[in-house]
Amino acid sequence: MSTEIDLSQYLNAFLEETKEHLQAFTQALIDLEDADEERAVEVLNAAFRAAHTVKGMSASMDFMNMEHLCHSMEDLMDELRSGSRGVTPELIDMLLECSTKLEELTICIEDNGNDDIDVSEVLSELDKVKGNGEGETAEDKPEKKEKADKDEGKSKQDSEKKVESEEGKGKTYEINISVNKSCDFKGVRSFLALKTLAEIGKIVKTVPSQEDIENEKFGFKFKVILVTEISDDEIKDALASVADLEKVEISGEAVEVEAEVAEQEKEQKKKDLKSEVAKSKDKGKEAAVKSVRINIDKLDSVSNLVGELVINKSRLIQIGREHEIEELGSTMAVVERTISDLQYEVTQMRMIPVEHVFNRFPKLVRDLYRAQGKEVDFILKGKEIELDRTVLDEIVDPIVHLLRNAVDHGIELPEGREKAGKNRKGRIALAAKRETGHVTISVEDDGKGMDPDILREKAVSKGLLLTDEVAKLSDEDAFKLIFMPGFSTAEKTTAVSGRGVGMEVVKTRVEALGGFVDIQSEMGNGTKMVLKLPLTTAIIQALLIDVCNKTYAIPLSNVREIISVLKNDIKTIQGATVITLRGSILPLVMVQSLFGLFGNDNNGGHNHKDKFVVVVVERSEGRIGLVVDTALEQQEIVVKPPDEHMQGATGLGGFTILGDGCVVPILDIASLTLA
Amino acid sequence: MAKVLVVDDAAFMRMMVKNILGANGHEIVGEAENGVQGLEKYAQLKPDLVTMDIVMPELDGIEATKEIIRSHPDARIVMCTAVGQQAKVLEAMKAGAKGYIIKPFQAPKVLEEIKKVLGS
Repeated sequence: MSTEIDLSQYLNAFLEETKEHLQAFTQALIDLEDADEERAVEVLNAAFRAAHTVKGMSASMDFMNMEHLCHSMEDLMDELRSGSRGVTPELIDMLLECSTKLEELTICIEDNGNDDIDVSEVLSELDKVKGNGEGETAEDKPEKKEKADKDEGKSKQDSEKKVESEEGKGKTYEINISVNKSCDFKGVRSFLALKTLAEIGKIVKTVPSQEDIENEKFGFKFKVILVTEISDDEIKDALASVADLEKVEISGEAVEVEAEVAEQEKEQKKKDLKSEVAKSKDKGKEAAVKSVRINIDKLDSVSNLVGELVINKSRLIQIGREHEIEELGSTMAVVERTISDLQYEVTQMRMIPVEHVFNRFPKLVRDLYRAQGKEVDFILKGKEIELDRTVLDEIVDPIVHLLRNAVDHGIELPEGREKAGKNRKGRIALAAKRETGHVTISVEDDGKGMDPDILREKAVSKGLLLTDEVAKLSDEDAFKLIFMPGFSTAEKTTAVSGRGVGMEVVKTRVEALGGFVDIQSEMGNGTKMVLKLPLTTAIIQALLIDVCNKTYAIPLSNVREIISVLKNDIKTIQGATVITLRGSILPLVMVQSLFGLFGNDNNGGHNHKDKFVVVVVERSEGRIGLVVDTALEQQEIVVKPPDEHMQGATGLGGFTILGDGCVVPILDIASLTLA
Repeated sequence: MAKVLVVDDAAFMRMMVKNILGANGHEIVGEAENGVQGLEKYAQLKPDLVTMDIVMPELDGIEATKEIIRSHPDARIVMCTAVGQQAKVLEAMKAGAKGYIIKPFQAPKVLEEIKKVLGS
């Protein structure tokens, strides 16, 4: 028998679940602030449950600081639940502070495997709030009272039955029971022993009384006078089913008494139980959720394997075509369908609702605006929208940054807003939206908006651009200045959200995922930042293009349209090659010159053609056109990350393997430099 | 040995119980993450023993215990509890639970309790 528990194997499960519960806890507290009475009870219970569960888990993992903190929080929440104390913003703050501490502890556990963070300060603050904070846990109080009432009734019943039992039949035994000193809840344990005895006979008397035993008002021994028909050995056997009984001594007097009450009593008990249970029957029933937890790494490798299948599938189809094997073709049609189903399922498995990261933001935003004396209504939309787990993890920091900007730079102080004729309370909305092929996540505020002139000045003063350069920028382009490295409008960092990552990092992160950032802003009316993200990063739709007989892939999520352009339409404005597309300027990138390719005519490629194919792609800075020889076909490709030789090569974002075994580079639209 | 149903809203706790019992020859025949599920699984699986958490959403462990005992008076239910919950545990015992184990779980104690309860 193995009885040792190796805690390390539980660490992942522990961390994951603790994080979930902390989120639920925080959300409940934030909801509590605006909740009406009925809702308050509900969310308090949810918060309590979360703290309670974390307490149990941390105790199991031997993270005692965490356990103490949860325990203390539980006590405070119980005072709130029982109504002995009203909910105030200060108390909510206090509990939120606790949750921050718990998050710190979780991170510490994740990083160092221990919870060695000082929690005494928070604990003493909690104690102060709780008043005495001593003695029995609040949790037991209301129940104990209720129970005492019940017991009173019960002992009356008992004494009535005692009279009856005088007429019972059987032997009378005196049983002395010692409870193990290391036993937890000796009252409960003793109750179990008494219950067992009551099932085999009639308890005439106990010393001390049954209530006292249940309430632990005894040392470690108690005495029972039992009338039963069975032998002392059989009594011992019965008591063997109760753990933690150190010693059972039985002395039988062999006094014959009538004892037919036992059966009646059992019947009565069952009836009581039935009526009690009836109440609980109408509670809501929900379909069972069948789920297993899988490590994301495992899922990744399944995705990769499916990716390999996709590649080999195309290879097989091609072989069938080349050798005109009809049977192979028809079989492959079936295989193809199965593989695409499989691929769909795997992709679905990687999807989780954005809720998982969104839920942590209300607290963050609240902390931010409160610290600055601002007032904000924070609204979450589209929490149920699903995104690839990897994508979701990557965009947490960018979203935090956008929210921080919205509070710090967007929303004005209440007085300022009043002066501007706005509601004192600002409004920030974080919304996720599913669009074809991608998901957008937007952060919108109704603050003061961005001033393009200030941005222009700043770009000049930081030495990023020249005065005449910025003068030419449209307002929309001026907004995009904030993406430039070295252009951070945040002078100070706030304590709450820590150091900002800067808009430049927001852009880089989002683009690394194959997405892009869009800014809409209006002076006085607010700013809207939109992150456009692909649904998944592992297998994507791509457009294959040919440049000088070399094939490249462009993520389809970036492609807007493919147009044909006459040579005469191409103009050069200040050294940049552009065309005019529906009235606006479209900068062009000659893909061949990017990679130093030359066409078969050995004569400078495009220069001798009259017509070009231009693929219009979208990125954070706006649209650009890629000049290519041919647009080949649209295909599903498996993205392989760039290997070490490719890293640092601008314009390449990885590679893929096609059905014929060809290795094809994937263009990284974001990092393409304009000619 | 015994067929066990584990009812707990924390997957972590279920895993812990499962591993302790599983490593010692018991078979975990099912898991449930709230009282309602627990009732359904009990009716469906008829396990020899149930480990039942007390604080759970939907239907707590005490109500679930009462309900199971109502339809299956011989059910063997062991409550999983934390320090400071005497009153709740007592309530559960009165409702018909046969034993209790205390978090943090100590394997020898858990196994002893299970053995005792199964022996009854």
